[in-house]
Amino acid sequence: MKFVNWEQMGDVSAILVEKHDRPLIFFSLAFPVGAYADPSGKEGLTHFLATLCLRGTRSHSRSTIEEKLDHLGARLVVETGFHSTIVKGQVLARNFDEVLNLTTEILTEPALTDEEFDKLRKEENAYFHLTLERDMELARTRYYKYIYGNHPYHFDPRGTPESLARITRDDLLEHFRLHFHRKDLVFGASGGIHTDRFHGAVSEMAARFPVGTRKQITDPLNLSIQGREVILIDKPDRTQVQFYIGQPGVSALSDETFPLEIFGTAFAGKMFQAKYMQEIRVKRGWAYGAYGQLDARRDGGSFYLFTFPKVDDAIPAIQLSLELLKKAPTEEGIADSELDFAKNYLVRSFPFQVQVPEAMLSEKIYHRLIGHPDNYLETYRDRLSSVSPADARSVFQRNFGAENVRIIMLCSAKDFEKDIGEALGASSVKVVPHDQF
Amino acid sequence: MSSSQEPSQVFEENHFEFGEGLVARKFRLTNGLKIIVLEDHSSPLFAYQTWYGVGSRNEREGITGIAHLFEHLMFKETRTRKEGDFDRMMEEQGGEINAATFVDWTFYRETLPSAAFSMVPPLEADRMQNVVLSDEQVSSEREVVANERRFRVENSPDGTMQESLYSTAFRQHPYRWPVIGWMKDIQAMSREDCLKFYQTYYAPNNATIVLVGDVETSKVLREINEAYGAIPSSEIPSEEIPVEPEQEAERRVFLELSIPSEKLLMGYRSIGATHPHLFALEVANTVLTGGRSSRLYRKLISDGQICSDLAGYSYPTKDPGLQIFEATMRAGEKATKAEEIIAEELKRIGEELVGEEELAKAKNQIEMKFWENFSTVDEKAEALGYHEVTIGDYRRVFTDMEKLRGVTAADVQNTVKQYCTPKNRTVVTARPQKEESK
Repeated sequence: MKFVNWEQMGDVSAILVEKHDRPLIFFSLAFPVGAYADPSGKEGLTHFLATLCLRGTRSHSRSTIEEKLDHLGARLVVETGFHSTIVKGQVLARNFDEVLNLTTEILTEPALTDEEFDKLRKEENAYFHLTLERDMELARTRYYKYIYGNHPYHFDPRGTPESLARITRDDLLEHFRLHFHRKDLVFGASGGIHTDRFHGAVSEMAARFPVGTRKQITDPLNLSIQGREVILIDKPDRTQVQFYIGQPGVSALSDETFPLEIFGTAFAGKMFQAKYMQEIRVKRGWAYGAYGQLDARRDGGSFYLFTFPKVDDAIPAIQLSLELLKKAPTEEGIADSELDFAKNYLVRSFPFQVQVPEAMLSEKIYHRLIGHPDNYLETYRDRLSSVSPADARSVFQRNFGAENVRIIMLCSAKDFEKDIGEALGASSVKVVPHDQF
Repeated sequence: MSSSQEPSQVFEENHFEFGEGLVARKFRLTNGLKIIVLEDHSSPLFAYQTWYGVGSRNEREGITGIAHLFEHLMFKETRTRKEGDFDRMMEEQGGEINAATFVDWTFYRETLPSAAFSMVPPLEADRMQNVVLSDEQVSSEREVVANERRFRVENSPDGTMQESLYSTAFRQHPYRWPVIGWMKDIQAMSREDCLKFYQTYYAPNNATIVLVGDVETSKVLREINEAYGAIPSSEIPSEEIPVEPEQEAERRVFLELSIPSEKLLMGYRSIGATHPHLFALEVANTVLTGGRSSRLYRKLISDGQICSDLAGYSYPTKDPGLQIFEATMRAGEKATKAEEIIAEELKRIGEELVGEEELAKAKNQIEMKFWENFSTVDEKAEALGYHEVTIGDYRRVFTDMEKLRGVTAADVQNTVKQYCTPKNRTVVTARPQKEESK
């Protein structure tokens, strides 16, 4: 496994993961600005702007751009997070220069026409509408909405129909001027591209972006949950319930993520051996899967358990989940041997995360943008290995419990609203329609 | 049937060279077990997949879903290992494990660090012949599968529509029932049903091992031969699969579902994975729905603005399957509108040849997607395994691209004219449930 290093090329941080096994090149152009920069009431602005850029430039219409990309065997997508906006591309290697040239034009000379503005807004609204029929996606977005309270993390970076309706063309132009420049730009490529070609491409690309300044926006997450708060996301005719049990977590920049990752994996991680999977699926057959995760973001995060039993098993499954959470930090809950197993699993399975060049590229860019040290991947396994079971247990116990949690359930509320409060010892029960964004 | 007294041997059948220093090789043991090996030392990992030539096509009414249920049960207990041992041993090495069942095959996969190889053949050989089941295990896993069905079908409008499509488009062929099985069958499946199924189909001469990654061919062959060589081959029953008769007229289904807007799912009876028209059909699909400049994407989504989602595909199966188009309408738009536009475009391809530029564009996209999906050791193994078991030749992974490049506009036209006709289609339309019927 070969790790690669960042190079500073003027204002641009650049990275190349070179491998010539396939005639394909992946590239990412990232601005260190994301949904955090969206003004209040106009959430989704950054994503909307980046997406609209792809819809035409001063020299090429949207349809010409799309035609060209398809013809060159290429694809461009926009990924907007809270702290970054990444334009990701992939292309047949022989056409890389042309596609990068076009991408640069898209991001430096977008047309942002009224016609495409209007069309895109309608498309985004259609997308929001579409999510209503996808239970897993709906449950996940509602989890984020209700766990993160009033913090910006509660919004989908794509916004809502209401927030998009407030965005004007002037907003887009101003946002573009403020944020889409080359200061702290990140660029990476992987695959069948040689170093010289890469350097040439980066220099040429960077020169076309205007200079600018940046100010990092931080907003530490301070969540307060009192007791067991239940939120029923009401959707008719559900024979299965998707539920999350969440509570405030830690920042991705905290050293506590290492012991928590080990504990979280032993308790409810992606292993089949994880306690939660064993208790819910293997022993009881209550669901096809049962998972848990530390959702660690730059300014804070959450920890959640998630599963999807049939209606009749939902309350017993939630009760069991809370019991398991309560017992987890004890030796009876998760034994030292289980913590060692999880640690070993994480260390040994690490190569899968960086198996192919585009995966290595993605990981490198993610860690750079979130503010991790550049050698994060190189030292990851050592840092995990240095965590003892006692460390993992005490950090989990300090951060998490079973009493102050938010339980978000996508279900038919009529099946639960009468009994769930008492069954779970809930401090509050709230019903919201599933189509309220 | 091979005798367990003769020493098992390894025969090389063929190989294929592609890329820089990459060679895929196929071997066979005396007992009929096939092994495909592709050495790739760029990462310290390997993928080990075992593909069995059994899927939902081998079921019958009353035990639909048994292939898939049994896939779950393969992870339980054997005569030599207790329940949980298999997963634990794999995960102890940092391995990823999973399995999948489809209409024509079932495959089991593990991906592990290369140092863990020697552990795998004995474990897989063990569960090929030594699985034991208790009523309790079957009962528990039945409930897991029932929950999986609730997740994939009953609480999923797409899953519900797909099930309706196949059960209407096919009346005789086993493709008519869902791979996961009907709920009543899942809940009635017994331990005896499962054991009988296992003993019938799980045998070395019905299996192909696909190995991709940081392995050394002679070493892995030796270890596989040691682990599996003594397992006798078995008489796999010949398939008595009814041929689906030609469709005489269009078929329609209307559903009312808990959805915010109308949805459309159309399936045209088409061809099997070994049919020479397959390449033209793939190119036609890409012309119609591949990329943002494709005809239907423009007419339905970006310019037409009547759909929020669109897909066109045909997942090649052993026997003739379906060419599918699916669309989700925007609020207030009727599915019939999308249906008309799709039908119009199909007719247009049937009447006007696709231009050379458009054809070249489609081929470039197909090439890009191929390389995008031929990336990890797992993806490579899956491509090889699928081609060997469904199409009958793993080498087609590499040679099909040339055939695709050779597709002409006339090929595309003739294929669409032949298969995408109104009488040949089944249309499932889903509408939002009325308020009073909720």
